[in-house]
Amino acid sequence: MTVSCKNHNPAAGNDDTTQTQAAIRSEADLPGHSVAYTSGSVYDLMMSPRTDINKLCFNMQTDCIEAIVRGHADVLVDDESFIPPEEMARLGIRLAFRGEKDFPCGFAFRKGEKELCEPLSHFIDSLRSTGELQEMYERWFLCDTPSRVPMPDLGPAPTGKPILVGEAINLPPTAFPVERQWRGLEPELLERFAHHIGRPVQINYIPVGSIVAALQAGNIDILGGGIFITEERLKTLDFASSHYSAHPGYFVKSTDGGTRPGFSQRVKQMFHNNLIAENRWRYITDGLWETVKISLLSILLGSLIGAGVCRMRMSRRKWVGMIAQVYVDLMRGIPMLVFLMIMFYVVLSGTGMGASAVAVIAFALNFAAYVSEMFRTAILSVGEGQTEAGLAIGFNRWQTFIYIVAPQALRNVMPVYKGEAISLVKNTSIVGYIAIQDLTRASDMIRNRTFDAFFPLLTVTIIYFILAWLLGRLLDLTVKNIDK
Amino acid sequence: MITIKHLSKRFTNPDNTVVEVLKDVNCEIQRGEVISIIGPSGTGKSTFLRAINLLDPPTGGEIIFNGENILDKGYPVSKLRQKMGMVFQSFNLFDHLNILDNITFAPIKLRNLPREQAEEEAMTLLRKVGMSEKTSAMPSDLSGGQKQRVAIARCLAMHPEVILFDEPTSALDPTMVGEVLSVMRQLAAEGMTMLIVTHEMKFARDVSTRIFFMNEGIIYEDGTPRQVFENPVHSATKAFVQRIHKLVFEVDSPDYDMYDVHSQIGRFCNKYNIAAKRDAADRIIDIMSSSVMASLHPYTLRLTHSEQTDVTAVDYMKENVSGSFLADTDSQAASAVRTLCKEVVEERTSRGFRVKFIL
Repeated sequence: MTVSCKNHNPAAGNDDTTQTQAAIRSEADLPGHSVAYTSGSVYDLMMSPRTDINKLCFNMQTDCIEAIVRGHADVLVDDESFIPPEEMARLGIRLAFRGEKDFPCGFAFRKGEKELCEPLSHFIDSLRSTGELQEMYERWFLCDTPSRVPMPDLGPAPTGKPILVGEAINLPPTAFPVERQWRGLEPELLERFAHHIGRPVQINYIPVGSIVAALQAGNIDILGGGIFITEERLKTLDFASSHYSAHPGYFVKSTDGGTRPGFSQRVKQMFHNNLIAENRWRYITDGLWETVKISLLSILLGSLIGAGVCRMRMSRRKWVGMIAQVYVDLMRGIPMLVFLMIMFYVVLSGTGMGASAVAVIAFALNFAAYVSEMFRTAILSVGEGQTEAGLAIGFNRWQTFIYIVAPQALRNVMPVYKGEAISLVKNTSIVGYIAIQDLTRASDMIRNRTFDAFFPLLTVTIIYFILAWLLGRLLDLTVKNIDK
Repeated sequence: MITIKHLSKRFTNPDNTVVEVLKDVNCEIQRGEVISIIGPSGTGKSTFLRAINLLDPPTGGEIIFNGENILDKGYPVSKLRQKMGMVFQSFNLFDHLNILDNITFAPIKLRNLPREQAEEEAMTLLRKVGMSEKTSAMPSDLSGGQKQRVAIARCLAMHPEVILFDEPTSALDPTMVGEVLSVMRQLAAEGMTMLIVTHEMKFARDVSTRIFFMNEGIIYEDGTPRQVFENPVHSATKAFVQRIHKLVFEVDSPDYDMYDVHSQIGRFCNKYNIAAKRDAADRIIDIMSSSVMASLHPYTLRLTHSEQTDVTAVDYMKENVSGSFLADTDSQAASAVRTLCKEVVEERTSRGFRVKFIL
């Protein structure tokens, strides 16, 4: 069911909604209402100190919309331009009123960064003085269908060391990808800047939660995405000259809805919107490939490391076993997401290693800790008599392990190992936090564009399920072949 | 073939106390000998056997096998073990392989035998131990006796020069001991060199060419079965081989648990391989308790067995009685029990009177 349809459901609570809307006409009417906003945004700063409202802080703007549409929130506060007018009608959302204060937005840099910050500032200032900046703003922002505005052709992209840009947003008109090409006010501005200084730009979507860490760890050079310039942020970040000002808008659910199409029509429309339009299925296939790659490599590498840790754990030298024990305890005690972020932003940040490689290492290390214990108990569960029989008949220690103990241990460990491997596949859905476009992130990207939570999530759910099932079959087959 | 000099083995316990299981073992084993190693529990019999193929490496001494000291550094231990088979108390068949593969596995991997030839050999060996019908069964499908026979075949598949048997029948249900012992008897008859740690005294006496009596970490006495069992030199040997196994019941009232008595007798008979005598013992006890002994509580009932002389007896002892009580009350019962045994011995003891039925 799409969000637009949900809007027209004669569900209970519709009267409440009408009353609430009637009550909200200005900022003075907010107290006592549920307000949705995006974490890390300037609205977060505005709302989080307040105690007179019910705060609903989400990681993604799409989730805020969902909250309004589903009736979890009364008001949504974000940039006025953030929902294109064409979408507002479809979703059944309307602008209740505008905020009183504007917020200047700018590109952020690491504190003390000079190489790019000043040239970009000068470039933006010169565009402003020629009126070009205003022209760009009007083209993208004062248009009903920003997603259909074409990017200007600036000629072939310059070559050289790319400038890495992290976009904290992927919504029209600020910045949004269409068929892997970024469009919007900021991408255009950055492209122009790229031609100006003769270096290519490479844009990646980074979720709001990890933007500052990404910048400070050096994973990106420039941070964009309608970042508000605030006093607070000026203490830790440098900003280029502001290239536009955002106007806060307060959105509420509208009472009048459009016509509701039939079920098959709706499914067809969802299918088209979420997968076919702008070749959005490519997000899914690209994300799937990323998820499969990270999962399989992590399982392989993690099993190897796990075998090594298991060997250490079973060592006759006490201190070797102790090291392995400490490693296992440590890894089991750290939440995977925290560990992944630490590896990406702290431990391996200076190595120039790609995010996918970091993810593989982090997941492998975590997987190793769990499976090493499984391997150990599986080996111990094969009786000492089996080893003795192997040795007594003339195999050496290694042959005895490989020919006699390992096949039996493997069969013992497989049910739990399979569960752990499948669990790893599902856990990879957090790699979005270090800016990897995996399967889950693919659904986020699509949701951000279509404002439809149901279809993309259902799609990736089914894919994850199939993936887990296939992996289980694969492992079963492996064991069968070992038995032969 | 094997010469062992001053072999010793020390274990250090977790609390740092040192246990010397083997103190100073010396012996010489010739090709074709069948040696049974007997002795009380905990005297190092199994440790001795496991030291010879280095599963429990000794801490001192020499083991000369075919002219070479196998304790020398760099001696190919795995090669040695291929020539020295071992049969375990707990069988230790490879649980993940079927019976045929259990036997062909090592020959294929270690003797580089082509699979067909290995399987052909395996079938011959399985026929020899009577297991050729079970080639595709898994070890878990077999009974203990069957497992042990397969384990012997697995051992033979490596063409060993000597086989070490570490209590091969101790983990078996008594009804299965016989099948394993027959296979071993056959091997002995074919001239295989065998070292057998065992508690089967009858088997040791019948099959061995030599007996090692181990006690206190050394070979206490070494000789032919006749010497060791009938004319032991040392008193400890004598005590061990002449020891009489006893099962004692103090019967205080007619309400004693007669089912428990019979089941204990069953177990006793199985343990010492005298199952054939169980029926007679049971019947004598049934008749006696319902007739002669019915009014004689309290009394002592015993079942005794001597492995050395192979004599089994049921006896009744009544304290503070000076004459025989057998025929006093029920002469019909008394004559019935006489037909169930070989001989009745009536004797005065220091504390009373005993009637003994030799089975």
